[in-house]
Amino acid sequence: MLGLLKKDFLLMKTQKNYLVLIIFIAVFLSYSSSDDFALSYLTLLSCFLVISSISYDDNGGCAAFLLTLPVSRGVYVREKYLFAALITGLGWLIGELSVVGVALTRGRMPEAQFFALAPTWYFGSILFVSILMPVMLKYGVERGRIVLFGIVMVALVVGYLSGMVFERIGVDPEAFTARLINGRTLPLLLLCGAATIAAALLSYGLSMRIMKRKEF
Amino acid sequence: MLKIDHLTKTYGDFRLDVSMEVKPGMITGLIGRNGSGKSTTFKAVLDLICPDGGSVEVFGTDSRRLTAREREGLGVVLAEVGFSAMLNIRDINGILKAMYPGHDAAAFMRRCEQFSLPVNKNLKDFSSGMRAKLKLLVALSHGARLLILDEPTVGLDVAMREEMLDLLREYMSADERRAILISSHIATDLEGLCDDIYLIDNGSILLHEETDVLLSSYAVLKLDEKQYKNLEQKYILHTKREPFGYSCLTNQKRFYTENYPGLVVEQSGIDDLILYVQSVYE
Repeated sequence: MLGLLKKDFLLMKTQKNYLVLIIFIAVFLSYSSSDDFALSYLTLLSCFLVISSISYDDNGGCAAFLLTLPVSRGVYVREKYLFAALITGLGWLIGELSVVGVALTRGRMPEAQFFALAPTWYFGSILFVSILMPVMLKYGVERGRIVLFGIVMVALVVGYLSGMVFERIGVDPEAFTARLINGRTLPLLLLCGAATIAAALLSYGLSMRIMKRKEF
Repeated sequence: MLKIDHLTKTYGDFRLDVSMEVKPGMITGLIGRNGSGKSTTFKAVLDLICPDGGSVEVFGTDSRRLTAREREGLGVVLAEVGFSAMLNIRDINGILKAMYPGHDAAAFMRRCEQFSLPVNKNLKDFSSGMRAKLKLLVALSHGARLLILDEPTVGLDVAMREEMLDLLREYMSADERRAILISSHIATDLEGLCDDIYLIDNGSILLHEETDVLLSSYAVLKLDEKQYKNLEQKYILHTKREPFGYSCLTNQKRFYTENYPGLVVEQSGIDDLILYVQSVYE
């Protein structure tokens, strides 16, 4: 697994210009927009580095070659999830540091709620990776992007319809969320964490199944 | 080392059904034209596809159940795939070091420099010959017991091909328990290298013979109607109707040259024999 991780980090090095650019934009956003936005931007953008790593393996059948090395299909899948957890974690950490750093240069600290809710962005990115990983492994990056686009469209439609339902029953979603969070930050975070772990495990199981049957 | 027993795989109209064996100390060649089933056989051996039936044993273990430790004993070259083109040789050396306890990083770098491979350039800037060289050096880098090489000489000019074949001879001479399974559609590449040769066409093994026997005892006889009628058929493997009469493949060239003095006996190389056998089955 160490060799695969090394390979993915070395491939990430080839995208250093992209990495510098997103960190620069994150710092800029920390100055110009809300703290939450800068953090969410950087964390979710780091998910695309995970897609890139699958894309590199997909290109020219590299994954087939990797599986001729002392790497089982199971190890390949585990490494991809570990890499995703590390990369999104790193993106989240840089986002946190960027927001705090920029706030400190302005002589203030981000609001307490920012710190309290910050882990949800990490959970969100893990959730996103949990959806994209089996899709990318099954369909490959090119077709996977189309499938992923379909999933995002369905999510948007569901979100839009939920908004309509809230409006019809006369509930303000933002106020509802604030009321839900109020005083329950820790239990809600734990619940989100548990749901994220459950989704990641489900996704991992699915990816293992896909890889066991995949032909190269 | 490697035993394939009635390995079957079907893709539409194409059906692979292969049995073969690679023994320790032997270099075994698998020769066939493009699309004959060579790569499918290699992929099944390496567990990259799920066979429909049959068995593949590597080091006495079902190839689908090989542990990572056992896989360290394999060195592989696949025809069209390898490490990502965005990596360079230094990167690859680091990855191999992390994967194989037996990888000698310093020796690998020396070898790459010896073969004039630029160590800091990304693979995307390599010529096809440079890539082929690197793939073989990677397969040789960790002291594997069995090399599985699918078309390792593709993209190489004659001089480079000889260099690569010398590397393989050197690898075999270092330890007599080692073995190589190598495929090519260029038979002359393997004539001077392999101990035995399997000829594959349309998913089936048409011929298996030791290379020396193939070169010394096989021949194509050219016969008119009368000669054919009087010919001893015991040592004839294949017969083909020709405009002039018949052509027959034998594995007892000497018998016919000694007993039928006027017969036209073609001293064929492996390429000619392959073309002949393939044409019989068409």
